[in-house]
Amino acid sequence: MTRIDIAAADITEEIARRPDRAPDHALEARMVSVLADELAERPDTVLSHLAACLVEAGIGGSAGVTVCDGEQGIWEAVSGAWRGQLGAAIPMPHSPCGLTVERDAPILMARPADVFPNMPGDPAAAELLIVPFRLDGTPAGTLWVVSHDAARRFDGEDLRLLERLARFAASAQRARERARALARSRDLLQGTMDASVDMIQVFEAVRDEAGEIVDFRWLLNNHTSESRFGKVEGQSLLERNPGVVIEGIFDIFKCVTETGKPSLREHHYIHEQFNGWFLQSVTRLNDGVATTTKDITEWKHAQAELIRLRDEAANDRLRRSEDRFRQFGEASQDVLWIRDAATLQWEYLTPAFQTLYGIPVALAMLTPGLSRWLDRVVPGDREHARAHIERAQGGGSTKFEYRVHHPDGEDRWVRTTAFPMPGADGSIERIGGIDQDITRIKRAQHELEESEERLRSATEVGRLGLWDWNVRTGHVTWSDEHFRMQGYGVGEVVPSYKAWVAGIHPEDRTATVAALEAAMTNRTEYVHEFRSRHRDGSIRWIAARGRFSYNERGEPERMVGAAIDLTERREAEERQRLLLGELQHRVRNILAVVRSIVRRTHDQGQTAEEFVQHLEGRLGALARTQVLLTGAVDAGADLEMILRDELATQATDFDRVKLEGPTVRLPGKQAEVLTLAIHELATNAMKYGAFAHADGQLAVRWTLHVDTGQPWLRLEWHESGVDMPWGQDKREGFGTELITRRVPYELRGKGRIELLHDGIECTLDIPLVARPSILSGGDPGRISDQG
Amino acid sequence: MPQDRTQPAALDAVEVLIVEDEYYLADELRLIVEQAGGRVAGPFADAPSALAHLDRGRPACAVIDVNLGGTVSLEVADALVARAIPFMFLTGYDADALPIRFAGVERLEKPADLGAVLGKLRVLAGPPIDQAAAR
Repeated sequence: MTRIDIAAADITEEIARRPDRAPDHALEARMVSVLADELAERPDTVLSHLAACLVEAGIGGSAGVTVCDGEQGIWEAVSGAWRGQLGAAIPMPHSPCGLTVERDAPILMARPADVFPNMPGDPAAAELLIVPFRLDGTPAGTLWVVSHDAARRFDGEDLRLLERLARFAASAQRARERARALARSRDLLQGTMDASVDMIQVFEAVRDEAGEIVDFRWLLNNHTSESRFGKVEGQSLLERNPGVVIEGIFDIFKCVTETGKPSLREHHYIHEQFNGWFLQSVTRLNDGVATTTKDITEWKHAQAELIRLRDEAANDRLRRSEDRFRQFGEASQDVLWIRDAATLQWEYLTPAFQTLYGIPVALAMLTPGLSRWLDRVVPGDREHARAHIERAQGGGSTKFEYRVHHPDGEDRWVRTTAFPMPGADGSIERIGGIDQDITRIKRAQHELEESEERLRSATEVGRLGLWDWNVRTGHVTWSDEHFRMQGYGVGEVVPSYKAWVAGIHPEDRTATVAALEAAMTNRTEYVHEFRSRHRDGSIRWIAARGRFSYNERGEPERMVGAAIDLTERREAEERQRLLLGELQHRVRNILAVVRSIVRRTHDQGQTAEEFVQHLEGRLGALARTQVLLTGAVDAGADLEMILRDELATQATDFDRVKLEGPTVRLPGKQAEVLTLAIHELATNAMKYGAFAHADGQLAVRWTLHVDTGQPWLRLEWHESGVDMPWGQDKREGFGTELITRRVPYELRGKGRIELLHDGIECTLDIPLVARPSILSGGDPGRISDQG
Repeated sequence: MPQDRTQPAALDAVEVLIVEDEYYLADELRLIVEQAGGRVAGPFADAPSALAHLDRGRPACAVIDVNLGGTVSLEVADALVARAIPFMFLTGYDADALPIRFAGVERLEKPADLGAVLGKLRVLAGPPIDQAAAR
C-alpha cells in the first residue's frame, strides 16, 4: 500500500483548540428518537435516515456512512450534496475512511481532496469529520460529515454528536446483517423446497373461540405447490380447496394436528383444479401440519395399465384353455355337464346329451331344476337318481346308475359320476358330472350272467361237478356239486389238488393220481372212475373226464373237467346183480320146498286123486304166498284178507264163519306160513270139520299184544258143532306138522292144535317182526365183507 | 320119505351141523344124516343159535345155507373156517355170489339131490383111516 502523507490535511488536533458550540440537546433527542424508531421498524434504511438527519440538522453539506467490505469501502448511505455518490466503492487504503478505520479514531481533515484525489470534487469538501464505528469489537465502517462551506468548521460538539450517532450506525449495520442472514436462510429453505417436485405446504390451524379447529391457513408453499395453487400464503384452505372435506383430508389434518400422529395416504382427488392420484404425508408442525404431496397419477395409470395388460394376458390364456376344454367336451361320447348348485340349472352341457337322452341341448339348458332330466329317467330309478344329485349338492362325490327312456323307444343304461365344484370361499357353487352310456356294458353283463346262470343250472340239474385247475398257480375252482362229490360242504375247504386227493378213497388214490399224470404227460383226455370216501364213511363212485391245456412251451397250464356221481347207477347195477342172485336163490329154494311138499304129501299115502287134490291145494296156497313175498316193497298182507281168501277157496259158507279181530298187516314170511296153515285148517274143516257138518260153526279171533318188547299176534281157530269121529287116525298130518313144528322153527312162534269133542281148536302165537329181505327195498343185502 | 337102504351107514356117530332156515329142507337134511348113522347138530334156522352151538361143541362137518331169515349171513361160514371144520354150502346162490375166500368150499345148488349132499358130507367128515390106506 502506498503510504500517503496526509499530514498536510490532518487537522484533527485542531478540534481541541477550536471553541465548542453549546450542545443542542433538543435536536439531539429528536434525532435519536427518529433513528431509534427507524432502527426498530426498518433497520435497512436507518443508515440513510442517519445521513439525512445530519444534513437536515445543518451539521454538514453532505453526510454518509461507509461500510467496510474487505479492501473496499462502500458508501452505504449518502445524503446532501454528495448524494449522487451513493453506492460508490472506494479502495480503503486510499481513503479517509480507511485511515480512520486504521487509526480506529476520529479524523478531521481540511480539503481532503488534496490528499485523496478520488474524493468527489463538486462541491469540494472544505472539511471532513469522520468517526469509526465497530461491530462486535471489529471496525465495520465510518460515519462522516462534509462541510462544503469554508466558514463552517467542525468543533468538539460536532465530534461528540457524530460519535454518538455512530453507535446507531453500528446497530443499524448489525440489524441489517441479521436481516440479511435470515433472508439468506429463508431463501435457502425456499430453494430447497422449490427444488422438490413434490408439493410441500405448511398450514397452521385456524381455531374458533372454543379452540376447535375450523380451518387451516397456508403458511408455506414450495414452488411445485405454487405452480398448482398460485400464491396462497395466508389463505383459507377450506375456501380454496373445499374438496379436502369430502376426501377426508381436512379430518386427517385435524387429527394429525391434535394427536401428533403422522399420516401417509393415497387420495384420488377430483376437485377444483385437480384430477389425479396423490400420495400425501402429513406431520404435525407447531399448531398445524406440514405436508408433502406426490402426484402419483402417472404411476397409478401405469400400474393400472400393467394390471390391465396382465389380466388381458390371463384372460387370453383362460379363453384358449376354455376353447380347448370345449373342444374336448364337444368331441366326448360321454355327456359332460355343470349345473348351478342352487338352481340345478345347467350351465354347461355337451352335445352328447342329445344323443343319450334325445333332448336338444339348448332346450335342456332353458329350464332350471332336475325335472327335464328326471322326466327321461325310468320312474323306478328317479328317486335314486335324485338322491345322488342331492348328495353331490351336499358336497359328496357320487356314482350311480339308472335307466333312461329314449324317445327312440330303446331304454339306455346310464352311469353318472357327479361331484361338487367349490367356489373360492369353499361353498359349493356348482355340480359337475359325467354321464356315460353303459347300455352295451349292461347288456353284455346281463348276457354273461344269463349264460353263467344257464351253465350253473345245467350243472346243478345234471349234477355235474366241474373243476378248473390252474396248474401253474395251483389255484383251483370247483362247482358246488364238486364239493359235495368230494365229501365237503360247499365252500368248506379251499379247492386244491391236495383237497382233491384227500377226498379220494385210499384204495383208489394211487391209480387215480396216475391216470391224471398220464393224461398230463401223454396229452390225452383224462377219463377215470374212482371212489371218494366221505367223512361219514359213505362211498361215492365218481366218473371224471378232463383235459389239460398247454402253453407255447408245451407246459401244462390249466385243466378243466367235469365229474358225475355214478354211485346210484353202480348201486342199481349191483342191486340188479343181487336181485338176480336172490331170484335164483328163491326159485331154487322154492323148488326144494315143492319137492319136499310133494314128498310129505305122498307120505300120507292117500289115493292118487286125493294126492293130486292135496298137492294142488298146497301148491295153490304156496303160489298165493309167493305173490305176497315178491310183491311190492314192504308189501304186507292183511290177515283178514288171507283168511277170507283161503276160506273162499274151500267154497265156504260165510254165514257159519265169525271173523273177529283188529286190522293186522302181516310181514311176508309170517303171511307165507300163516297162509299155508290156514289153508290146511280150512281144507281140514271142509273135509272133516265145521263145514263138513250141518251145524258146524267156525270162529276165528285174533288179538295183538306185546311180549318181551315185541308185538305178537294171537290167532285162535275154533270150530264147534262138529261130531268128532273118535278113534280117527292120530298120525301127525301135514297141517299139524306145519302148525306145531314149522311155525316154531321158521317164525319163532308157537302152534298148538287140539281135537276137542265138538271140533278143532288151534292157537297160533306169532311175533310180528319183519325179517330183513333183499327184496324189501332199502339197502340190499350184499354177500361181501362190507355187507 | 323113501330111504335109500342100499347105502351103508357111513356117518357113524359123526356129528353134522345143519344150518337151514326152511323147515322142510332142514327136516330132510336131518333125516338123511340120521339115516346115515350120523348125529345132527341143529338144525338151526339162524346164525346166532348155530354159533352158540359151535361154542359148545365141535361137529365133524357142516352143511349150511347163507340166506338165513331173508338175509345173507356168512358169520357161520367164517366161524367154521376159523375152527377148521369142513363144511359145504347148500344154497340157491351161484358160486360167484359168494366172497372169493369161499371159492374152495364145497357147494351144491338147491334143489340138490339128497344123496349127493350125503356123499359130500361123507367126504367132509373124512374117511376111516383104513379106507384112506386102501386108496
